[in-house]
Amino acid sequence: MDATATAARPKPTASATLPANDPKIVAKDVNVYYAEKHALKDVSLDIPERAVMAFIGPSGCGKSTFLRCINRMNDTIASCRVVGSIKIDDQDIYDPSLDVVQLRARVGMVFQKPNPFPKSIYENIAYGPRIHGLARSKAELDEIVEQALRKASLWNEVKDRLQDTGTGLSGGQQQRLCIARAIAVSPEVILMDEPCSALDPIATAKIEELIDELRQNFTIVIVTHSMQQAARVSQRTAFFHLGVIVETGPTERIFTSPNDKRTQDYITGRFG
Amino acid sequence: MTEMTAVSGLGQRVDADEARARVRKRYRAEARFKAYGIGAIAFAALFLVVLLADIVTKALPAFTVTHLVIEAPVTAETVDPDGSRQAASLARGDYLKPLREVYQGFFPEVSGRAPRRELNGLLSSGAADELRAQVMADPSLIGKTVKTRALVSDDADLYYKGVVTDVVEEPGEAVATPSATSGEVVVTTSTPAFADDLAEIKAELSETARKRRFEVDRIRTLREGILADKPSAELALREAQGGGDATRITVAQNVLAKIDSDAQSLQAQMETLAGEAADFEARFKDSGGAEKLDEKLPSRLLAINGGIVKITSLAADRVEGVTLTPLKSQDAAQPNAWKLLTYETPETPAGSATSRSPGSRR
Amino acid sequence: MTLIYLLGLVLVAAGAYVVGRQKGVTFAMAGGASRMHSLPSYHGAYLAVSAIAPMLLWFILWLVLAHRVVEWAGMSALPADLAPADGLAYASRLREILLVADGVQTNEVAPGVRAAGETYALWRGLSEWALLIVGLGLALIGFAWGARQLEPQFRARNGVERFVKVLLIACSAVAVLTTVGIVFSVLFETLRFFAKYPWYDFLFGLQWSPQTAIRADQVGASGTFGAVPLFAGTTLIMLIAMSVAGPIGLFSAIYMAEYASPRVRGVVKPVLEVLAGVPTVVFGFFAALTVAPFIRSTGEALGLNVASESALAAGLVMGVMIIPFVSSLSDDVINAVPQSLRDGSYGMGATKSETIKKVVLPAALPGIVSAFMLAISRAVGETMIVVMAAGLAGNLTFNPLEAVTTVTVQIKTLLVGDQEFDSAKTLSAFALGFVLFFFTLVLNFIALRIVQRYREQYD
Repeated sequence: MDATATAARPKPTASATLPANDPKIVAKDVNVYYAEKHALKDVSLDIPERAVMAFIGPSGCGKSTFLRCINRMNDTIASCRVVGSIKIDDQDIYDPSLDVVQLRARVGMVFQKPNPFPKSIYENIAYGPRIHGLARSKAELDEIVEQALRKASLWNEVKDRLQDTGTGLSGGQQQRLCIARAIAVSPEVILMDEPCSALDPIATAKIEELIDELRQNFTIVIVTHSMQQAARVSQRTAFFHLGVIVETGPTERIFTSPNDKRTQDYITGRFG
Repeated sequence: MTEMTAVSGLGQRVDADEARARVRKRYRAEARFKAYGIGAIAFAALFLVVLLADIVTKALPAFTVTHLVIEAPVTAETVDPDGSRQAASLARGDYLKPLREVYQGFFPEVSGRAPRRELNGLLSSGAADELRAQVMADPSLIGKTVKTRALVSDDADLYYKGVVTDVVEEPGEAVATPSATSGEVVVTTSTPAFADDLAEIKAELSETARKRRFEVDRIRTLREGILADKPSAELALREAQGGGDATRITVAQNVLAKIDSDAQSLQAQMETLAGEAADFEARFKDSGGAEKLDEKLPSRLLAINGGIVKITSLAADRVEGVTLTPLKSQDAAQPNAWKLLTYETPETPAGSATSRSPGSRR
Repeated sequence: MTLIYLLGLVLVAAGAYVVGRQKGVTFAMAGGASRMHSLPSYHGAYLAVSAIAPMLLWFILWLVLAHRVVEWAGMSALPADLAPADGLAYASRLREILLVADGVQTNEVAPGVRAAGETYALWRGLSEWALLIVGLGLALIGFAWGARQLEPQFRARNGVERFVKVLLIACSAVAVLTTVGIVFSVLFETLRFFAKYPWYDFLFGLQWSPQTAIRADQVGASGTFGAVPLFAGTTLIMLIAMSVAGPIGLFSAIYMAEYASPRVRGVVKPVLEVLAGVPTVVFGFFAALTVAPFIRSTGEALGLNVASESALAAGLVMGVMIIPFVSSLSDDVINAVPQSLRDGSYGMGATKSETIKKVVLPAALPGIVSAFMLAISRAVGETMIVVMAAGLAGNLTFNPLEAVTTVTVQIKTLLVGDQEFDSAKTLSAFALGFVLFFFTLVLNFIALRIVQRYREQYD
């Protein structure tokens, strides 16, 4: 898909209803090096807006690396070098004039292991709005916290113990807390790096349900090891192998009639 | 990033300018925080450097000693009491005597027992060690004049290392005429060459007086602090006497006695210092022509016509003093041909009653 | 003789080991290694242990008892008229006997003493032979007992493990008992002091001047042991030191852990640790000869009244000395904060300093607090710098420009010099030591509790 075609598109607002496959993120010829290691090779990919895109592939194939490129989390690794362009709403996020702090407010992230801060549940959610100065008053902050928790389907479980520490919640609740924390700053994109890998099946089901709901308001990119999960939650899937994208397309097609032999082998469990 | 959407909360949007200003503020805070870290490490490292530099510079002079190179005649009578030229005899010889004789010859004007002893005191008691070693290694030196190095005393050594006092040299600005070549000398100048020095001495007087007053205040506070405890100590004593506990009575009595004795000795110190301060203040206010120099002020010497005069009284165009080494002539000295030396550290420190001159220590 | 004995011990152990191992190997050859409970080397070790364990016990027993027996024998050989009447006479008589026994100064003592000395020497020789012969005999019995037990099914490994466990318990018991011994000896001396001087006057008295009269009629000699000025001085200097070491150490740690590149860190960390390696005497004279005069002259230039020995000089230099304590420990705990927390914060769009202030430091807080506690106990226990730079005057003041004194300095001052050991002056040092010990104990206890809570959070 041509990146310039989206340039004139109006900015998203809460009321806008746009086709689910309109590209929000356009990556072109992305190469990533860790010191001498060439981790990603010429990756080009379009990620549609308000849909769930799943990255699948065997361990070490570069899917997490690519995910971390989208909000420049790789900046924190000194030896990591990124070449190529990634555009969100037609703006290159590796442009030197772009501010990484503001980028990350637009592109939230949820990690593999739930990592709530050792603070109260309330303070965990309020963290982002506070540093970005989103609330002008305590009442406004309360409102943001409540909305974020409601959107993460956690409100009913924690509303009576907002001052309890976040690390005291169960694993699944912790992960939903992290999702609530991410959406509290109203990002446009949420990146999820194997968000269910540390959770039991029931907690996983809840998160998957939540991801499906969040798709209404956010562009979601999820890295997963579980092909069933990719099939359940995503609309589009990209298959990574040895640092390249082998195949990308609507999830249904990838899982029913893959074009590439390697994709076929992977989803039928020959390797990975 | 001009087209970038501003960060928004749920529902409402934040003005883009405001957001940018906020981000700038956050980055300033970031830079500040990082600077604190660098500053902290820099402080610690700087302290370490200063510590090492201080130790090294203070320690280095300790590895050097000051010698006087003397050519002394070595005679058999003094160094070889047995006349046997054997090591046992040579080791008992008096090697200090020939050194001292030559050394005293440098200062013919020093006479009398006490000044002579003071002069000898500037040589170390081990001054002759090197000469002895030379002679014992080579007895054929006996009867010859031997060039040797004599160790100076620790006071003199420290003086040469610049530890004892700073010395300031000022070239003379006018034609100076001494009245005599030795003993008490008056030097008059064609213009008021000592006007600056006179002002300086006045300033020193006032500064010294201020320091003394300062010290008096400090001691007064200390004394008042001690006396403030007296009522409670008296109360404690009465209570103890009421209670009849012998240990507590003794303790309370001891406290009282200690307070009284401390207060008394501090009172005495205060009086001495206040007396000195008053004296200095009076001399500062006294606008008479000449100022007396004593051991509580920096010493000033006049180097003129090959001799040295220690100044005892100083006026704008005229100084009085005694010669330390005699002058070679009574001729008028041209500007820059003579100089004034100021030894910044006074001979006597504050508050001490007896006067000491350098060299008489130990 | 003890050296020979210990050498023998090693030889016995080695020999028994070789024999036992050989026996184990024989079992293995005969019945196959799979039928054996323990490896041949454990058979060897078991035999070695059974041989040397009784030897070791006998050696310890001998160390405790032998000299007493020998001493008793020597003393009882004295004729009745030379028998010592009190402790002092006993000690001097014993010294004479020892001299005789060692063969020195034999012509100046009474014949009775000489006879006693000879008895003493005889018994001493006997006791040494007893050590060797009984020890070797016990080793032989132990060896025979162990050797009889060895068979293929024998659980030699368990036996050796049991011995190692007992040995380790014995070692830790020595450490614990030593500590308990120190505490009790200080405690008893403290109680003796409180028998001479009321404890409430010690803890709450405002006047510290420990000059006890040596003669009863001495003038102006008073002894008052009100320790409040010392506590105040200690607190003052500790506060000054911590206000230097706290921020500087913490910020250094943050910079090293979060900002510095590995290369910078590799230089800075050792440089900071050099500060901890400088002998405190050197810090002391630096404080006294360079920092204190500097502060005094600066203060005077500003019109302040500064004593030439000031709490500020000592506190500043002590603060610098304990920077590495704060920075090293804080650095470690900051590094121990999981990276996932930082990632979470960066992922929210927080800057580095925001992440540090709002996530890393709160998470590392318990560890940082315990680092501060350790630094404080170091500051409170430090003596040399304060002796040299802060003076000896027991002023009750919180003015950092005045001379103050601390608990440790007074302990040092009280115990240096010729004083009767049971005078109030000397004993007060133990009371001060006890207070100091108690204070650091409480600090360490708090630090330990905090660290425990910290561990629970991340394990």
